[in-house]
Amino acid sequence: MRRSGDSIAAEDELRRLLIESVTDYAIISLDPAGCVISWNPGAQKLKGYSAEEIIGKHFSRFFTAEDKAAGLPERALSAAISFGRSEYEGWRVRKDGSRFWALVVLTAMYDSAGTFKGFAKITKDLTERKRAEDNRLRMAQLKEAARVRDEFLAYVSHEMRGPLASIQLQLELLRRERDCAAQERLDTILSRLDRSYARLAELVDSVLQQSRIQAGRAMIKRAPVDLGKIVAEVVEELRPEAERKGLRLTVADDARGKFLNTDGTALRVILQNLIVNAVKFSSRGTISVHVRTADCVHRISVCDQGPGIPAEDRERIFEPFERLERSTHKHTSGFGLGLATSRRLSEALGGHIELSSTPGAGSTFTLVLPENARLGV
Amino acid sequence: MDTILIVEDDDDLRDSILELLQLRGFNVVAAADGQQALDELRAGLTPCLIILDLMLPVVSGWEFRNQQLSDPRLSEIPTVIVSGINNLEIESRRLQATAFVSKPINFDLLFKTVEQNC
Repeated sequence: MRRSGDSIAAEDELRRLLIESVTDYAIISLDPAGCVISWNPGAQKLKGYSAEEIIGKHFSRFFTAEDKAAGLPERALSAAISFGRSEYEGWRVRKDGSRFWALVVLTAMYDSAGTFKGFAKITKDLTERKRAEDNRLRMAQLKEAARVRDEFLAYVSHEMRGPLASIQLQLELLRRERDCAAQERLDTILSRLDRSYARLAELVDSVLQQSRIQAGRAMIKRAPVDLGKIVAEVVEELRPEAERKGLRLTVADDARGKFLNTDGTALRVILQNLIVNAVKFSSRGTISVHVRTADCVHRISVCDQGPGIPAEDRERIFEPFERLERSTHKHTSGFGLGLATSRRLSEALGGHIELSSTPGAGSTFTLVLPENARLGV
Repeated sequence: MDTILIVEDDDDLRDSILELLQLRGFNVVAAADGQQALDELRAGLTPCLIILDLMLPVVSGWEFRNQQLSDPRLSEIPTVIVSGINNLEIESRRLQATAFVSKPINFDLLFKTVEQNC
């Protein structure tokens, strides 16, 4: 049945009224190239342009400069053509330059003959919801940061109370025995005091070092460094501790005279941390240090025959204050800062740390330093 | 002579508590972790008091206490927890400890607890 001209006109009028009376949504249409054809009062209210100002202009002007540069307007149109419609959220720009968070539905329009006529575009302002979400996220992040800080403070105080308690009791022993103690006995007490003092100093140093790195204040100075000499020195320094635990500590490659342009102090700290960890977590076998250079990349590896690290923990242990056994109440001295510090320092030197591990068989931490690395920090 | 079992992984701290208690005339057996302590007890040691650290390698103080409490022969041995953890009082109550002493250790306080139980 043919509809009369009057009923078509009435239907068009109804449709126009529907679109005109919606002021919470911008309802507009675009031609196939993306230029504005129609503009409702909701669009004027939301975006600030009158219909006269905007009709004929390309819709990309509603996008931010970054999104325009990234080709988002074109991508939105082609997605609507490919899939019939596209829906997305993002920042949009009003006439006065202010931004709002928009939910946009873009639909491809076809006439009854199937000819592509352009796009229907409906936009809603979700800025308030976005702000509330962002605030919630920020609050959650702050809460998490506070939780990490509290946990850290609890951990720091726990770790420091050990050597403090030891110092306190040595003093107690000295007080009780000072009149009758033999020289040998005094030496024993003094060496315990020395060890407790050294542990406290090491804990304080590691916290300060990590906080300097976190604050981006680690000073990195480039100079020619004898790689083999540093490796040999660090190994000699830590050998007594390894031997005390019945471990062998060896250098597999002689790299003396191999020079590279890097920060010797940072390199030393990284090597110390890797070897100290290997000693701390191994109870048997050999810890071997390998120095290899190929294609202008130096690889310094510390291999142990310790318990190994399960795959799911291999990323976590590089985070500050994390350690493998944290959750099990088992105790190993230290703050769990060595790997976090080493990773940050290795990145500051233009390199990185690789980890391979077989649970039950051992782990290998490798410091990878490109010869001509750009120094960061 | 009354025997005290001390479970502490810090060698120097363990040795100094041991020596201070010996100076007061006690017999002291030392263990460096929870497993060693359980081995001593299961081998027949019957101390008048256990001085227990919590953060221990191999078998932690928490695990030690769980095993001790589930063994009728060991559960009644008075146990004082000596630790540097923050919520020591709550943890000590949860672990049904006889007493707790926070690190750094006030030795007079620790000794008072010893005297009350041995």
